[in-house]
Amino acid sequence: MTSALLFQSCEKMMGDYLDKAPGVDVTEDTIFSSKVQVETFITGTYRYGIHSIFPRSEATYTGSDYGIPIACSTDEAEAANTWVNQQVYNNANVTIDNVQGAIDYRFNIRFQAIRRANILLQRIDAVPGLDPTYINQVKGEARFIRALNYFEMFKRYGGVSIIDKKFELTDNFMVPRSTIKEVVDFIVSDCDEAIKNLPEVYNADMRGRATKGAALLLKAKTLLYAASPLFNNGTPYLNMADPSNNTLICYGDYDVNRWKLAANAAKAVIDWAPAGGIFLITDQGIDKNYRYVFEHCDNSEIILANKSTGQTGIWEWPWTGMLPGPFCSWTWYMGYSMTFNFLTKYEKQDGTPQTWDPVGGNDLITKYKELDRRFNQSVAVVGSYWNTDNTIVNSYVGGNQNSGNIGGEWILKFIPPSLNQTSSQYAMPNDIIFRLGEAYLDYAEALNESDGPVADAYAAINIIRERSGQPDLPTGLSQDQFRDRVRNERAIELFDEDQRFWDIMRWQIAEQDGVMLGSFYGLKAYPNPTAPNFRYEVYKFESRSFNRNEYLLPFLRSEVLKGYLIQNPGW
Amino acid sequence: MKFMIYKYNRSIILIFLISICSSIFSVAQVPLQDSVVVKQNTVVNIAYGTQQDWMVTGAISTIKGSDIQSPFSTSFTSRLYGRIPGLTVITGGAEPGNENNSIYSRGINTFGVAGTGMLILVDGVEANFTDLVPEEVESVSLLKDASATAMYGSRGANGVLLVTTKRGTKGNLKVVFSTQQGFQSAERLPQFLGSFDYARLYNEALVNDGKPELYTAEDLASYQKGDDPYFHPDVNWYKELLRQSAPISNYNLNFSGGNDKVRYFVSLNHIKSNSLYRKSGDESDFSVNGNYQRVNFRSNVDINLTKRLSASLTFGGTVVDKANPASNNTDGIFNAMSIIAPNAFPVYNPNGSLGRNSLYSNPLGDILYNGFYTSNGRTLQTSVGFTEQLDMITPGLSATVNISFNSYFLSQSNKSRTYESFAIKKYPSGVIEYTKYGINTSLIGSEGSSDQNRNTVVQYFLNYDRTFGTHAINGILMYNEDEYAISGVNNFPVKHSNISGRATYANNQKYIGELSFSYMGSDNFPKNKQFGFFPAASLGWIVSKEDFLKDSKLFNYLKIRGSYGVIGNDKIGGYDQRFMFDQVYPYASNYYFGTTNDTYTGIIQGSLANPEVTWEKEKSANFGVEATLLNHFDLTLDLFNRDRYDILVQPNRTDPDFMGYTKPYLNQGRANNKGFEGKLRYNNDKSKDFKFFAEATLSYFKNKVVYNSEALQLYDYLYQTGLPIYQPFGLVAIGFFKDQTDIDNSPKQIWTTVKPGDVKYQDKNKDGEIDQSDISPIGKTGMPNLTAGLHLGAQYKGFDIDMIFQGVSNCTVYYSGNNYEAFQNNGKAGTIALNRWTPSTAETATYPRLSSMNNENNYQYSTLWMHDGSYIKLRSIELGYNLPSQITKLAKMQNVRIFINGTNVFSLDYMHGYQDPEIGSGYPAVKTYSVGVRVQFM
Repeated sequence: MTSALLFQSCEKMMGDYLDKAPGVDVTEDTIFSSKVQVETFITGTYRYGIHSIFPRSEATYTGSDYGIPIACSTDEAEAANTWVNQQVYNNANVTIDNVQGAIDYRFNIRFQAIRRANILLQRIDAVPGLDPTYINQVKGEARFIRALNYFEMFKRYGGVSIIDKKFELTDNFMVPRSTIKEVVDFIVSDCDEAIKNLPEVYNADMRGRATKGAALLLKAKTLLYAASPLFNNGTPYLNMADPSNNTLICYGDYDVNRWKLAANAAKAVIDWAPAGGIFLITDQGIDKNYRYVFEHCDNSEIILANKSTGQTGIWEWPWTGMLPGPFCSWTWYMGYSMTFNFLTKYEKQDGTPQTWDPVGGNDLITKYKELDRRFNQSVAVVGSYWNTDNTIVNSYVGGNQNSGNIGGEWILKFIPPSLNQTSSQYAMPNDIIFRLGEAYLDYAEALNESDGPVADAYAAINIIRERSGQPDLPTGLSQDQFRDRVRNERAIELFDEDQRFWDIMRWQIAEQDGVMLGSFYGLKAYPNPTAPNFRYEVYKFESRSFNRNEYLLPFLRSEVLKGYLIQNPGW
Repeated sequence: MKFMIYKYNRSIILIFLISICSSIFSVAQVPLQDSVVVKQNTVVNIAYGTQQDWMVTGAISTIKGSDIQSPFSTSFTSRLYGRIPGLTVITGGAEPGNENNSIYSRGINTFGVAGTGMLILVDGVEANFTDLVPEEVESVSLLKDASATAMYGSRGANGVLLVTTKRGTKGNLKVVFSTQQGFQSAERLPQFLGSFDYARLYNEALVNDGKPELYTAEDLASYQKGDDPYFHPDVNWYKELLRQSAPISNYNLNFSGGNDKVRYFVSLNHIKSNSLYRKSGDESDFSVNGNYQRVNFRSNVDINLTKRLSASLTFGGTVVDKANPASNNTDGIFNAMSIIAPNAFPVYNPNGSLGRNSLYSNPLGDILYNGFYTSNGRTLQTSVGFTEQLDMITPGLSATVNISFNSYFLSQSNKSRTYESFAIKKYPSGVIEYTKYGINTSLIGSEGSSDQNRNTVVQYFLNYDRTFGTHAINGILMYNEDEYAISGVNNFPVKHSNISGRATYANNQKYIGELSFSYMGSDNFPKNKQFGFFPAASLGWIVSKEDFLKDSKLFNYLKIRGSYGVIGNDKIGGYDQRFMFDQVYPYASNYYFGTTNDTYTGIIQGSLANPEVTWEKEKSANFGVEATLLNHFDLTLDLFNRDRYDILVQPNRTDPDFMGYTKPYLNQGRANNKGFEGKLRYNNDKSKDFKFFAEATLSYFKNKVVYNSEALQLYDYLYQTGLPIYQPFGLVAIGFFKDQTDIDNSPKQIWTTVKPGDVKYQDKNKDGEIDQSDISPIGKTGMPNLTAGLHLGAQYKGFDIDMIFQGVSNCTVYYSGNNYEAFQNNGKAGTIALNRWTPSTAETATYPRLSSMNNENNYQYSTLWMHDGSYIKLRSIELGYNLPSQITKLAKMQNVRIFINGTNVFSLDYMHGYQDPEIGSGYPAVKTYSVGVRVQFM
């Protein structure tokens, strides 16, 4: 006892000899001492918080290594290579051990983004010298980013643990999963707060930050998903091991009002758009409007995009994961092509279905030309001009650009034709998270479910069709018919935009033949005998598997073993 | 008597053996001295002081500087193999000045990010130790248990090595000059196939891969005959670049002496070791001869300023100059020599220009014409101490203050250029086409300094040492502040402050008790949690002083001792920062806001702060026996158990991923290390003409990870917990695939489509697929946990012989790299590839089928490439002759010894000649033969 006192007094005598000298370390206190520092913290929070719809190389972006777009896990596309991670869905090879490595790289990163948002919310008020508008904006951005990351988890896992504060080492970490209702309510309340606080629009130099419109669309999308059959259901897709936990993966009842809320929220986005300077692109011509949205960054249709990189080289991500190998010798992942299953979804320009001969025919180019104009703006068809490096796409059997072209048409929707190996090796990825076009489709879908195919629902879908030259939907459709048309429209309009995979899940249609299960067809083009037309042949390239447990992802085994998570059913 | 023995345990058998030995050597009945008196004359270095040997109750092993004159090496640590019980020396390399050996006390007992190195003190302060020469070293002591290291508090748990430099003693001026001149040569070089075998096997590899053969029968014939040196060359790059032997030399001159007022020791040493490269500097104006040279100087002076006040000055340093052709280290060139196929290109083309191909430059050209790198390093160790006798307060009391300053500085000067070389190609017409690579430029210089460290230490001591009647008391109380500054913007100085003390009491020179402690603070830890208390206690009993052993013929001296205490290790490591109690946010990630996509810098979150972060602690117990038996045998034996806890680990087992940060390191890990070490020395110097001694040391430890919070694993065999620290994990190779049927009937191996002759692995989890889940603990660690040494010496009249053997066991050497992986990474093939699998050698093959491309399956980390790393090496053998004094006196010399020495003369091991068991690639292990003379002037 005395010796303890003795030592303490000795320690005092030694004074501050052992104190850490002033240094260049940045700590939380330095961050929250000035606006400049807070801004760097927010910048980093965007980097962690905004995912990407493209394959990216590093963990702080979205995707996974060995990645190509998730379209290759659905009927939209087939990857040129068998070993890319996206194939695990096609052969039902998702496991509780590979789920994070192969499918959901961002699991941990999302929680880092959420933690950063929580830190911002906790500390921004006390930063000296900030004006209240700015404080509100930062809070709005933090809540938006938190909500966006929760939405990304909600659609993958169902109910997840809600972390709404910055954890310290002394906190109890064992936060169990919340129910679907709790998670949806949490996201919606964050969105509502963000809608109140976020600006309509930023100066041009701050484009890319979350606006009121981004929060409105996130809310609409959350409610749309929540109203969809996967969640808005009396029984889940599979029972949990203990069925009393079913509310972790579905509401446990069907409530048509959820569609109503979704419709209202989507309408709010459309109503807000002019105030935010957001418009559908309609002034480039019906054969170019659609393409313009993807070729021009920060165009007026985009509400939010991932801007985690500047221009990237043709050998870098995301191009190396998306460019067809035969188009560029520097890519690794060889690109991806549209399946025949998906090709048949495109109407003709007169609004009627295209007829494809299941055996094949001699008029491939003729058939292509009759299709919805969005088709030709999404893929490079055989014999067409692509860019200065690839003046004729030789993707016919025996052609030098056919290796890996399994589906029939190389997908080039997001790839600027300016990008080439000889003279223009850099381009800016246009990584669109939210665009106004989606809100119209959300609205049409939700309104049809809540009120039937009313005029407003028709109007919403027809706006999207018209700007690409498609005639209005025929009037007098039943609710079921309208649902089919709106789902088809959504597939076409949002092709390869990281949407269809999640739509398939929420509609619970993955197990339908040709969607994520069963036979998948491709199209082979032959130059003979009818040049300049091409002969085509339809062939089955694979049988895909799908198990119902895949409607929601499993949690990683090592996480479940820690004892705080209840695993999703079937894993 | 005999019948009893078998009933008792091994220690009795040992005694039995000793009594047999004693009968062999027929012990003469010389009058016995009081054993303790002998031990009084020996002084042992202990923490911050010295103690008479009999009084020591901790586990300490000491070796004298004069006892490590051999082996001959530029590195001080290379002299310690197998010499100090409890000390493991791990070879880092053999390149002069780049040995980088690491040393461990009782193995290692921590893991993960923690530092495993021990605290090394030269004259009580941290300073450069590997560059010292034995001529300036008085002794090296290893402090092993808690009792010995408690005063070093949170720095003592990995063991402490005390190096004490020589000081003058009262007496006439003594001048000693010595020199040693020798040659170094590679002990073993990797063995690669010549062009004929290379081409033959490469064809086979191509066929295995389903490709056409590359070399025609004419090509092969040409390689075999060697009749086309330009287009069918057969180049052994080792022969082209290295010389058979390279000189090494050492000169030392030292003076010592003193009187009542002043005592001094002054030493000057120059050592030079040329590299095994050919003398590139003599051949080219653009290169230098590779060499390493170092000057050591030292001047240690003690002065009695007044009757009571004395001063002690320590001044030592080194200047190191290194020169190397082509780059500042030899790794790149040695890698080139080990990868370029013998037939890739000739050294010189038909027109005399340097050859090369599109893939590889010419290694000879690189060392001759690419420029050269020189560096200069300087160390300085200075220390001033004053001691005042405080007898007026109470007899035996004194106070000392000691101030030390050490610095280290390294600067480099690089000269580089490019040179032209040509790839040649012969057309059927006979025309030779030359393709030029590179252009000749003049040398471009760059200079820079890299490491700059300095260390400032202030120490205050209060010493008490007194004997009253049968009571002996010895005590010390000290305060220490040290600051170690390292250059670099983000480097904070490492600081400690320490109050520590020790009190020893002995009764009747029979019963000894000691308490020691440290109250140490380190700036690594959060304020108010910087200081820790580290106590230790020990007891000793000199049994031989008891009446019942007084007349024992067997035990001349017997002491048993035990200690227990808590010590710490503050080198806990960390994720990306030293101050783990602060949450840091390094600037790192960008985002591109704005329609013009301008870069904005973003802050990322470092790993979470651990506000409770603290040092590792170790509860350390030791039991020891020291004995002199039958007048001739000295035995020391120590048993220890060390429980380390508060090792930093990431809570992967418990903390959810949704924490949203890089998991912090928490003080949760635990490890255990137990073992023993001993030394047995037989000494026979009864005859004036013939003297003989044998000294054996043995050190053994067994450590294990007790808890490391590793993530939950699918299979139990994937856990590190319970296994030795750094246990390797890999696949179990169970042979080669016999044929396609064998492949079809075996689990799928995921890396590549396997073919007959590929390595077949064990399906550990029996899921029908071989993948990363099938790895399990295989082999032993790279670090041996058994080290033994045998030191033998004899003198007959003027002649003497001295041999040092050292051996290790319980370790694994992993065969990897160009020497073993035939044709991988566009490389060549070692002779090991001759044992390859082919359909006809399927039964006897020890090497998988050859493949011309990188084979993902066969070179997985597996048991196939593991080999027993045990070895026995003759570290040194020395023959000497002392000139008769009648002759030396004529030349005014007191003592002249001439000697020849062999260092690392042979190695018995399981490497089949493919490599040295300690050095697998790069600069080869060397052996050294030298002659020397040592002259002591009157």
